Amino acid sequence: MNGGNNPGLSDGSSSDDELAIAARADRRAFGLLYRRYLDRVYRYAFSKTADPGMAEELTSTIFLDAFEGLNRYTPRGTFAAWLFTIARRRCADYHRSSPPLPLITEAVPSIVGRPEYEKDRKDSFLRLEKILTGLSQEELDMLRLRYAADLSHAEIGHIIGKSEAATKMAFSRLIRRMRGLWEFDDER
Amino acid sequence: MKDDTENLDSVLIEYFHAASPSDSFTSSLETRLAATHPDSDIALPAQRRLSVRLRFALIGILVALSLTLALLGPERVWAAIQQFWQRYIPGIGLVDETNTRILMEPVVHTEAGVTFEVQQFVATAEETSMLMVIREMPEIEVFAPESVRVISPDGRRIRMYTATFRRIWPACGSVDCQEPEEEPSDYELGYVFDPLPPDVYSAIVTVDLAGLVPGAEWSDRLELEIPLTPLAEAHDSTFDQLIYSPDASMSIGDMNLTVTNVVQAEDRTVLDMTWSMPQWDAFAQAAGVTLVDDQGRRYTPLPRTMDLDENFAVIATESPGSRLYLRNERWVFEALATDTRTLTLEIEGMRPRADAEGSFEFDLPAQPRDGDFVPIDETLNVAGGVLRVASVRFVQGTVEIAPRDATPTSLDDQLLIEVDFDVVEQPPYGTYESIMLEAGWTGPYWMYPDPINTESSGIRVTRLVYDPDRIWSNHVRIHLGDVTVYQEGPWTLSWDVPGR
Repeated sequence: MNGGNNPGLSDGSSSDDELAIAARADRRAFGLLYRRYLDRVYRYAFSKTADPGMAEELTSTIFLDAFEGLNRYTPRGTFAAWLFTIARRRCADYHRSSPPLPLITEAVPSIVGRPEYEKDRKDSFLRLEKILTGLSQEELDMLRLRYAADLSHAEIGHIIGKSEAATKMAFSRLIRRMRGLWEFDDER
Repeated sequence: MKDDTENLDSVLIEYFHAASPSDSFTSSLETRLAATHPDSDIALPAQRRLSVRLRFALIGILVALSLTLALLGPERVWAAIQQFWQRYIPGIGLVDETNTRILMEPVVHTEAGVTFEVQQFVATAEETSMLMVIREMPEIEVFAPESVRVISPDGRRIRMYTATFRRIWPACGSVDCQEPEEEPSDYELGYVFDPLPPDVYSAIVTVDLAGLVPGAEWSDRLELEIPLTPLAEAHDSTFDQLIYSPDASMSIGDMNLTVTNVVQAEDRTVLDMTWSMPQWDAFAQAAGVTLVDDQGRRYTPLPRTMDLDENFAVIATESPGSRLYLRNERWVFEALATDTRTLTLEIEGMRPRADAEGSFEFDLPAQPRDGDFVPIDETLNVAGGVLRVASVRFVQGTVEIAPRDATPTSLDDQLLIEVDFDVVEQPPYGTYESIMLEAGWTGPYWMYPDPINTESSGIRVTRLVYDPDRIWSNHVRIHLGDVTVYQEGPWTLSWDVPGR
């Protein structure tokens, strides 16, 4: 992106907060944030929709909302949590007219030239989706925020309104429960 | 040996990372963003929020001024000034009094057995906050935060800023409380919206009922009228509060605790604190906390729900060669006696806790059995200290399991793995207290909150259940998960209560 001139900014050394503050006047800074977070936001949107086109549309909306709302962000080291609060809100709009758990196995791109691996992967995904269908919306969202958005427990806690410790505990319980179901399924 | 795709953790990562944006989309959105101008005319809650903190900074100056004028007895003036500015509202937190309007009594409506209660509604110059409780709600299939809206009297929808949503668990008087078997059907929704216009003394809260009330259609909507009263005119005894910033600090080992705000209200006492800890990003849990007044009356923290103004973000500040982590915390106690002149905060000990982020590997014996011993001799940096993993032992034992939705039971004759640690160097924050071990192959017992512990060098260490059916390679890895360090006190911190 162009516009503005801030030679001190770089993707590697500037914190999210530094970029977010700079981006209020310098669109190039938002470009760095965009590149830093694009994959994570897209993955989160895709996990909510299982539709590449819809995931792109939601990703666009999320970044445009974030860009327009940058002045609302209070720089306290919580940019990722703030961005994914917007992402959750936008995806919730979509969810009002869609199933709560879109299954993504059939929608993910194939791995070219690896048919054996592809089959194993699909089997694992289907097995995982059997477990995911038994989880609550809150639990699913925690998984998306953790694995698709790569957020820390503290950031997830910030989004869902729990302390870091409580989030970590809830997440740990969830994974243990899933691990039991996973292994139970493995035994059958 | 099974491949990685059969491991849940790796499958979860692969599953949620399976898609990525196309290059054409990436560049087209980038171009679109570059052509978009940020809306500089929109209201700035961030800056307005800062203004509240600037006022606190000003309060800090007033504290210094009041100390200078202590001989003249200015404390009453100082406290009165702060009371003029700030009020504490349960569930919302500290709010500025100027131009603030509040809901004096909860607004309640029941629809098809589901009760909607707007408990708090606070409109400040900076933002509009609302705390809503929904009781007896069936399991939610889909909940969109936008199901709840605020409409100003002129029909304008007030834009939502943030929303939190949590179940209300039964009150628990102890940190050891277990979760009830059934999940509760009561929910608490906390919202922050853009500010209402300054001359507005009512609002409408609408709730889309579909998904929240059995049988509701998509078009069904509840409307609740919210009458608002200027906070400055609210003469309710609830707002007979003493609010001040003692700015009192103490050091606990390498940690520092500063009490930043105190609210002495009719029904509770609220303490806002900031913890700082160098180098280690740990969650610091205080043990044995008591607030003692000058008459020797003792108060312990109450279990509570969060306020909307609480910020749990960890702030890391860097300086050459060091990093400092800051966390905010709020404790609530019972109301103090009105004649309290001095307060002392007593803390028996501190338990910083965080991921150890360490692991070690070893080769299993051909057919492990009770008494087998595997020397390890590997040192790990954990929480700023150094631990030596001395050995792994196999022992026959009984494990207690407490499966979800089933009666707790015990399993005899299980082969367990115990890990022996030596403490090479204790961490700077105290002594190692407990370590939680984790491994991907530990079987279904591990999914239950089963405190299977053993002692090693004074450290409580979880044991792992060995299950040959789940171990696919003779080379295994054990992770060190949560590590807790204990720093024994006691520590005390005292401050004078300003006159009302």
